[in-house]
Amino acid sequence: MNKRILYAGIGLFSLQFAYSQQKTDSVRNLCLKEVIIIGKTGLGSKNEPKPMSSVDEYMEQQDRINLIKRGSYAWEPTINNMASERTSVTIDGMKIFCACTDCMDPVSSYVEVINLNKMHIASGIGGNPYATNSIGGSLDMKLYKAGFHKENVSASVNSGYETNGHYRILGGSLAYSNPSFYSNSGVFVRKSDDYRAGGGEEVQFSQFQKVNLMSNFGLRLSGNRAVEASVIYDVATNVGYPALTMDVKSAKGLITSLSFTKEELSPVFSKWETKLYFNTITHIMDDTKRPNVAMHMDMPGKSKTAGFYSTLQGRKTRHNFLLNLDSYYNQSLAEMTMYSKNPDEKPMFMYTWPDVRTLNTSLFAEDKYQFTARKFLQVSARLAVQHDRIRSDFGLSTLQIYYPGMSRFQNRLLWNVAAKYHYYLKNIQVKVGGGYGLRAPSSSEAYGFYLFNSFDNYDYLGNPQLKNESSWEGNLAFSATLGKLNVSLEGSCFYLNNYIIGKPDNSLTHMTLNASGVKVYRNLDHATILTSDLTVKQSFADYFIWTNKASYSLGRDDHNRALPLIAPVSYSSSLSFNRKQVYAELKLQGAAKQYKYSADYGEDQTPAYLIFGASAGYDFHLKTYNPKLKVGVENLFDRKYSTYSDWNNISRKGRNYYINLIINLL
Amino acid sequence: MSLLNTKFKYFTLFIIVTATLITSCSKDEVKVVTAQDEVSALQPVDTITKGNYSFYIFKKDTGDFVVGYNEVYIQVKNNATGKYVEDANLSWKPLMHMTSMSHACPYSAISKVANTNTLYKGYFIFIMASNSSEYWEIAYNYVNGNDTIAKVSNQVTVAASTGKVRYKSFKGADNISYFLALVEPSKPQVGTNDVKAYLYKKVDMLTFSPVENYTIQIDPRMPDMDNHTSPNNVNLTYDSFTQSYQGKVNLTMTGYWKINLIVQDASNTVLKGEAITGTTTASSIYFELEF
Ligand SMILES: [Cu+2]
Ligand SMILES: [Cu+2]
Repeated sequence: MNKRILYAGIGLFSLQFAYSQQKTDSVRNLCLKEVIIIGKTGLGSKNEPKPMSSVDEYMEQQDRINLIKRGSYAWEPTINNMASERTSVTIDGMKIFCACTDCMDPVSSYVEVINLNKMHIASGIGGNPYATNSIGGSLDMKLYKAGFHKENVSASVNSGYETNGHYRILGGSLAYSNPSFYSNSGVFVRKSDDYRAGGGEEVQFSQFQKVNLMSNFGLRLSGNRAVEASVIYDVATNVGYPALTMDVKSAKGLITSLSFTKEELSPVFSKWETKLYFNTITHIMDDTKRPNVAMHMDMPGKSKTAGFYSTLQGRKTRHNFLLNLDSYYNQSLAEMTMYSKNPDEKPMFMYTWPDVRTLNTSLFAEDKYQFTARKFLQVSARLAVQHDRIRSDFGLSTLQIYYPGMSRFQNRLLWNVAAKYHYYLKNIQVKVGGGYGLRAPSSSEAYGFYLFNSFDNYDYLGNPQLKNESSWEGNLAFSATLGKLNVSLEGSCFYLNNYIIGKPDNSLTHMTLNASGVKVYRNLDHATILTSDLTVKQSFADYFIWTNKASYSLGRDDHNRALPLIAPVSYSSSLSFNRKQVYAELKLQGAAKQYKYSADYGEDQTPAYLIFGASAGYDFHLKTYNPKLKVGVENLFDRKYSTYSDWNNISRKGRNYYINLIINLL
Repeated sequence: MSLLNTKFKYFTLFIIVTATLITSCSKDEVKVVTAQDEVSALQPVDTITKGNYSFYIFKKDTGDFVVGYNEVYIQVKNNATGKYVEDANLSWKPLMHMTSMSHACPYSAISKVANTNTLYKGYFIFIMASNSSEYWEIAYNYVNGNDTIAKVSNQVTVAASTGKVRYKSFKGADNISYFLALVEPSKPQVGTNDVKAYLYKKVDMLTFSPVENYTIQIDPRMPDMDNHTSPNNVNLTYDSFTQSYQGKVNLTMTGYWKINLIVQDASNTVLKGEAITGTTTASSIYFELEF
């Protein structure tokens, strides 16, 4: 996985990296766990079968990442089988928190491929200066910036169409660079009707549409200084969630930042970046289109985050270090109004997130010590203070029913340490690492009020008395290259103390009609999670690469029962051909029967499946435009299937033909 | 120049307004509370004058008295002196005149309202609505030792309670008639609410007495929400000082709540009411709250 630098160009912009990228290679790049390059033309674009993929589909291609799907839009990434509570998803280092109590809007749903340059995926505790409250892993989505280069203007049109769901994709972008100024902007639209599952059955309420606007500016000042600003406005409307009982009327994200960078401050300090950011997310659910709604509800949610970080990078002798001071203030508020069938009755109102204010300040330090050119040690530590406050008196008094005398305030001290030893021999790479870290409970885990989870059909009640969850982590990566064969094996194991999960409380009664009961978040004494990946890659006959992957995961609670949402054995095999402008790929992908499903946590067994796909691409070399054309078919044999992470076993897409066309106008 | 002038004007105005506010505030502090001030938040119900005395009757809300709990406020004025009586010894008696018989209802003694000079209060728990031919009459009595100073009476309209159920009468398993009226929460809120209720039994047609040392179990439910309930409610127990039953009810959201009740006597024998189970969704006695 270490070596996987996946050039997934969508051909939007000019060739060059932003200047900041160029400075950060050398040792740093060796240590990036995983970098997926998205927004880059040329070189890699031929290797990406479907450049107009959603951000979700990009993430799905990555080892260690799985996606929980509640529909065809806004999938929730898990890293090492751990979801949002245990992982961190940031955009260019910015903290953003979703505004939906039901995880209908993971952070990654507020960006588009057009916004991104690459994704930095780190497994486990270390490896990401901007990850807070994460023990499972982190994902930092780096924004695409045109960068300071010799004068250049570029423009492109991106389009795509998929037959299943009549899915239309259209985007355009414009970029201008010169050595002291850059600006790039884009607009991206996706719209899909209901898709059809394998066999042809329509999956109702799986439609969606979204519009994404983005703009970046950079101004280079004297003395190696630069000011950069970025704005993303992303609106998804009429989004169906076939696995849930309601849909989304609108999910809006406004993500803004302003950063100041100074480079080559001294021989020791190479770069100092300070960024101020603000983002606001509003999420409005909608049950009015569903038939036979037992009770109509309004469920709006909002999340606002303001924060800053200041990162100082430097090197001295054999040290390569980074310091990051990071602080954010988040407001999470969600309410629910339920309307009785009896029109004379007053509506029932409550806060599902009681206007929770979180102030988190942390200091992160990392050092890479280079023993020799082939051996180095990476160590990092983080210390964070988190202060929570329940702003709403109404919300506080409802929680106090369950926790008499509970305080409005809460302080938590959080920290983690991680170390990884990298050893590169001629054809062999070995990495051994370990770490220990704490995370605070999420807003839902600590303060959520009767959040209905349709997965196990329970209402969930937060628990402000939860202890911090802690994790001991060990990881190992081994990779060997023998001629044209590359074998790599990676594994991580996590021993979590005070593992937070919902447990039924029979003394409480549910609220949602026909729910099975109430679960309250509790600390289990411990839990164990193990993930492993094997990749075997063989190149032959100059133009062919045969890639085989398999992964195995395990999750156990303190009574040795299976944890929910742990991936079954899954595998894929692809054969790709790449010669000059021609690219073609055949792929099969499947999973074994889910033997270790978690009946205790409301999961049922997911059967095995196997699907096939094929794709082809051609880069035209015309005088001016150089269009890139990609076509493909997914789920070739129209299998009806669902994966373990499909919420309520909703079926995945049946056979789907797609075409992507990218035209660079300038 | 003119701008400066305007600014100056505003500044002067600000000073004057501030000064006025300060003076008026300090004036408030020494202001004498009049008899009228003491009833300014109340609604007049009736004024009955007899001889030198006038009885002014108030309650908190507008409209008629209703079946169930009714809080009543009284002022008595000596018309000869023009002064309100501040140490009156007041009593009252409600009586319903029906076509074939008459009966009373549970009611309290009259006591002075704390921190007032002229205001008295008490309550009735009316057990039946009046109609065109059957009416309630309340006799007020102002005595000094054995001397009756003034005795007045008036007829009042008692309407059937149309809103949420806050009063129940029932025959207990011991064959005694009980009268249960909810006082608090008068303004329910989300969270923990103090509950206060009165429980009386009928001794005879004219005598109703507070019941002591029973337990009233409460089970708040939302019928609209699959009979959702809240934890940590406190059953009502007898408070001898107020002669009422007090406990706590937890309401997890706004809306319509049914407070199911079970009345147990001092030896924990159930006199009325049923526990909520899968098949029993409501007790035969309950209060209702909606907010
Ligand atoms: Cu939602
Ligand atoms: Cu009568």
